[in-house]
Order: sequence, then structure tokens, then C-alpha cells
Amino acid sequence: MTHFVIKIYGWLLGLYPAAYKKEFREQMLMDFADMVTAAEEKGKPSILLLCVREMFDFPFNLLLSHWQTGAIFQVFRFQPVNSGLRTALGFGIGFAAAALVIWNVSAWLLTALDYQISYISVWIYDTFRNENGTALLWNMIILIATALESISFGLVFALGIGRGRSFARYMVVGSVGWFIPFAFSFVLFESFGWPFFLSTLQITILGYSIKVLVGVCLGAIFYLAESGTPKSLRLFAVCGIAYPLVAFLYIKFIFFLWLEISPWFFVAMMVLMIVAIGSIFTLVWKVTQKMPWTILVGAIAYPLLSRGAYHLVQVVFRLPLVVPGEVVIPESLVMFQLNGVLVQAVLGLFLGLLLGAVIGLQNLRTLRQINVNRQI
Amino acid sequence: MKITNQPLSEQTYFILLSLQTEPRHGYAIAKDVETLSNGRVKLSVSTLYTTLKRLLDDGWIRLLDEISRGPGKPRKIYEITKKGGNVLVAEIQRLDTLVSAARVRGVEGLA
Repeated sequence: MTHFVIKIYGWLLGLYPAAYKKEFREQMLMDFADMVTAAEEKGKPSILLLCVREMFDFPFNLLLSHWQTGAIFQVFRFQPVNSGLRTALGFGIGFAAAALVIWNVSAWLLTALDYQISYISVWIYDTFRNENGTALLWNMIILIATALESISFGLVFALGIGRGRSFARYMVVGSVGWFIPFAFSFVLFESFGWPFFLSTLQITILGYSIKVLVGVCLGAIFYLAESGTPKSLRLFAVCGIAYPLVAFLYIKFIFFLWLEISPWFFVAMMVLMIVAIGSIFTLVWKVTQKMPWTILVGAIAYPLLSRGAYHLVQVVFRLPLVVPGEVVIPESLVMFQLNGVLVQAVLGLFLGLLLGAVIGLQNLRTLRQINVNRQI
Repeated sequence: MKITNQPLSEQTYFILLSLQTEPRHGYAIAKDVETLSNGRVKLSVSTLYTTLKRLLDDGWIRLLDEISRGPGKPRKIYEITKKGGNVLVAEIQRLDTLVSAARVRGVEGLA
């Protein structure tokens, strides 16, 4: 047993920085062996006590040694830590920037154009005797607002994660990756008031599927940005236009078939969501010829983290709870925005950390494969 | 590191005190510290060497020599430096002042 304990300790000492190991490793191992031998004479509980004492002290001293030699900072240069942290930063700031745009620029845009839109809506109704045009008009305004927040996310995504000449590509892909799910869900939820025809549970399930779509799109942007083929970028950009349009036409078609008053309405909506999620996954897989792991991670992590981030901010920062949909009085506007920005920043940070780590691991695997091939 | 009036940690104090009487290797220091503190301070190996490294870096102790002990690898022996000795004396004086102040006031249990 003592031999085994000493062997483990010797292995643990390997975790110290190289310079520290060179100076102290042998001495530390000899001293530990002496302590174990002395404890053994007193009985097995003494060995256990010695190990427990060492176990408590070891992590702190190990960290301290890395900190003092500066070795702790070298960890940040290696994958997947490097990629995870860079992406976490890019996503964290990107999410927060998009949230700020939603509440300031988008809200301002909608308020500023409210009178004009109402005026045009009346004109459309008077001229064509139907309300179709008004819905389209509102959708256009919401799409412009969504495009603005998408650009702000894309900008931060490219600044944080894109490198050198690939900046423009990262920005386009980041913007479109943000735009697709949010524009799609805006058009879907805001156009026809269809949630009225569904149960609370069904709306919750659809809400989660929208979150999965967001996670899928955010997971996809890495692959497309790094694949670098103009064809993939064009296809993705087309998706940015096609998805909201298809959502609009699809709902219109469902209403045309009177499906909204049948149990098939929910099924039809779920089919749309599955096709939307599956098509992004297939597109990325086909274009890059690689298994898009980040999409899978994004699809699972985003819905979970979006809920977790909300609760985490309430618990850690103890900000007054702002109920979604509640009327915000001007006095609490700053608190409301701070709350929302923090939630988004935390969400982006954790999601970015996960997605970046996945990318980092994949890059590491590719690098090892290249090295193996070179050796052969 | 400069000699300061900052109180020493218990580990640092006992290690310096242990080396004040004679140069020792790591394990001997740990055993002596345990004896000096009546079994209260038991240094783990990682804490012992973290402290020794800091004391070496600060110039309070220095590596004296390496001696062979039986068939094993040589042990590194540490000894206290003049600077380390001054720090220890300053610490003892500081502690003495504290205890004297308590005695002057006749604090129960010390008088």
C-alpha cells in the first residue's frame, strides 16, 4: 500500500512546473516516502491522516507554484482552453451587444416609425381592403431591427474570434447565424397570433424548439466561417432570407387550410421546426464534409443555458426580478436593461466556452492527425 | 524581499527557528517543526517546499550542500542566512513585545 501511495504522489508531483520539478521533485518524493514510512510504524490510520493532510494542501501549493513561475498563463495558449476562452469572450460581449441594440436601437426604431406605419397601414387597408400588407410591413420593420442586432453580434463575433483577413467572413457568418433563428421566430410568432390556438404546453415545446434552432445556428457559424468556401457563405446568406419568408408563407398556408382549429396545427408547427433545424444541420455537414459537433452542443446547451443564465444572474447579482412582458416604467429601465444584458452576457460566456472548447478539441485532433501523417 | 515588520506565518517562523540551530534537509525540518510546536504544526510536503522556495527566493535561507544518505539520492541541506536570522530575531522581539504588553496589563492566564 505504501508503495502505491508513494507512486501516486510521485505522479502528482509531475503536475508542478518544469523548473520547480527540477529543483524540488526528488527531494519532495524522498521526504514524502520518509513520512509515509514513519506513519506506517504508527498504523494505517496515520498513513490515511498523512494523505488527507497532503491532499488538502497539495492543490493550493500546486496552483501557487504555477502562478509564481508564470506557467499558469501558458495554459491559456493551448487548446481547447485557448479556443474556449476566446469564444467565451466573443460570445459574451456579442450577446450583450445584441441585447443592448434590442432595447435601444430596435425599440427606438419601432417607436419612431410607429406613426408612419400606422398611417401606411390605414392607407393599405383603405386601398386593398385587407390587412395582409400591414402584417408584412410590421414584419419588415422587425426584420430591420433584428438585422441591426445581428450586425452588432456579427461585429463582436468577428472581432473576438475572426483572425486577420477572415474578419469579413466571420462578420457575415456571425450576423446571418444570429439573424436566421431570431428573424424566423419573430415572423413565426408575431405574424398571425397563432399561439392563441395552442395549449400552454404546446407553446412551451415550440419555444424550446426555437431555442434549439438558435443553438444550432450559433453552433453552425464556426464551421461555415472556417470552411471559407464562397459557396457555403452564399448558401447561408440565402438561408437568412429564405427562413423568415418560408415561415411567413408556411403559416399563411396553414391558415388557408384551416389547420389552426385542428389538432394537426401543432404537428404542422413541429414539422416546420424539425425541418428548419435539420436543414441547417444538413447544410453545414454537406458543405464542410465534417461532423458539426458544435451544432449538436449548441442545440443541447443553448436551451439549458438560457434558463440557467437567467436564474444565475438573479441569484448572484440579486437584481430586481423583471418579468418578461411586464410594462417597464422609465425609472426601472436601466435596471431592466442591466438585468437583460447580464443574462445575455452570462449565457454567451458559457455557450461560447462550450462551443469554443469543442472547436479547440477538434483543431487539436486535426493537428495530431497531421503530425502522425508527417511521421508516416 | 525586504525585512518588514509584518508578522511571519507560523510555518515560516518554525522553519527559520528550526534552521537557526543547525542546517537541515526537508524531512528533518518537518520533524523538527512538529517537535518545536508540540505536534501542533504538521507540515505537508507541498507546504514545506512552497515555503522553502519562498525563503530561498527571498534570501532568508540558502542551499548549503547535498549529502548522500545511504544508498538513496543525495539530500539537499538548507541553512539560515544572516538576513533570515535578522528576520527571525525581529519576529521574536515583536512577539515578545506583544506578550510583554499582555503581562503588563496582567491579562489572566499570563501573569
